[in-house]
Amino acid sequence: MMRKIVSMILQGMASGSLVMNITLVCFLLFADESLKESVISVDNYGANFIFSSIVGITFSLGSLAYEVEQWSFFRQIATHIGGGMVVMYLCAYFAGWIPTGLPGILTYLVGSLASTLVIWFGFYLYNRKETKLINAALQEKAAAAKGTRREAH
Amino acid sequence: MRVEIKIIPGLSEPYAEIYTGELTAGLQDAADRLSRAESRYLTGMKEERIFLLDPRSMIEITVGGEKVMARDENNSYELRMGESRTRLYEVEEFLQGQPFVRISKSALANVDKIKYLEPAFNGLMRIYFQDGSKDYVSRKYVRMLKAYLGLGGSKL
Repeated sequence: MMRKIVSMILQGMASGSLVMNITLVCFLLFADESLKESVISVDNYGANFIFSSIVGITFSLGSLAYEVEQWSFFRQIATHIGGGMVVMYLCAYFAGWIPTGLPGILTYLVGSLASTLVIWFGFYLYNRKETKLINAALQEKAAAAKGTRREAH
Repeated sequence: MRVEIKIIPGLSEPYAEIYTGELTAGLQDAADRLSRAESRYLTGMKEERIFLLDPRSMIEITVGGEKVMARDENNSYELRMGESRTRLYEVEEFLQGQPFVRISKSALANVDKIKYLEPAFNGLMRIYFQDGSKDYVSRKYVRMLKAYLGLGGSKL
């Protein structure tokens, strides 16, 4: 169990940092100069890395909620996504990711919610790929069993 | 596949070893069939009658309250493995070498009776059995199912 938790923490850090770096590249490509200067600097890179890692770790460990079989689906998803979002907004507040002014705050809230759902959907696609692999192996096994039976007759 | 049979006088229980560079579904199936060569039966109770159950015809074995239940296409039986309360892990151990895989904390599924799997939005996979019934595979146990099918997953 301990090994699994350490692995989940590392995975969370990796995915948090990946999302941070993709976001920074988007800023580099699309943001205006003043915004770039306030967001991308050597000074705040360390803080961005730590806060994005905390968010990644929270979402990664939060997925353990799906393994609590006595919980309802709603409770599992509320714990995972809801808990992750709360930690993300707290980190965003302390890291200064939330822009000032109502339009900026709303844009941040909608954008972060949308990106969370996109990532969640990404995991669903991964799950779908795994399912296809298993289905192919099941079919192969069934075909092999038929072949073995035919040889036996 | 090259097959050799060695006759060793006095050997009480026959055994087989398979040498391979890679575990495929076909080989796993052959191994399952060999291990079932001397079939073992489960004991189940239904309406105060005792039945000998061929595990190969069972679809799923689940825990319901205090009981461990095995079901085939038409019936459900309470499993008995001794005087004391039967536990799922005891049944799991008894079924070693049979095509049963743990799919959640409270269920074992007969892999030969699975029709297909489908991804679910809650991070789990849903199993559809050949008889039309369904259940979930916990994320934790997907690795065991993959390992059984030779897909490189790991046992817990």
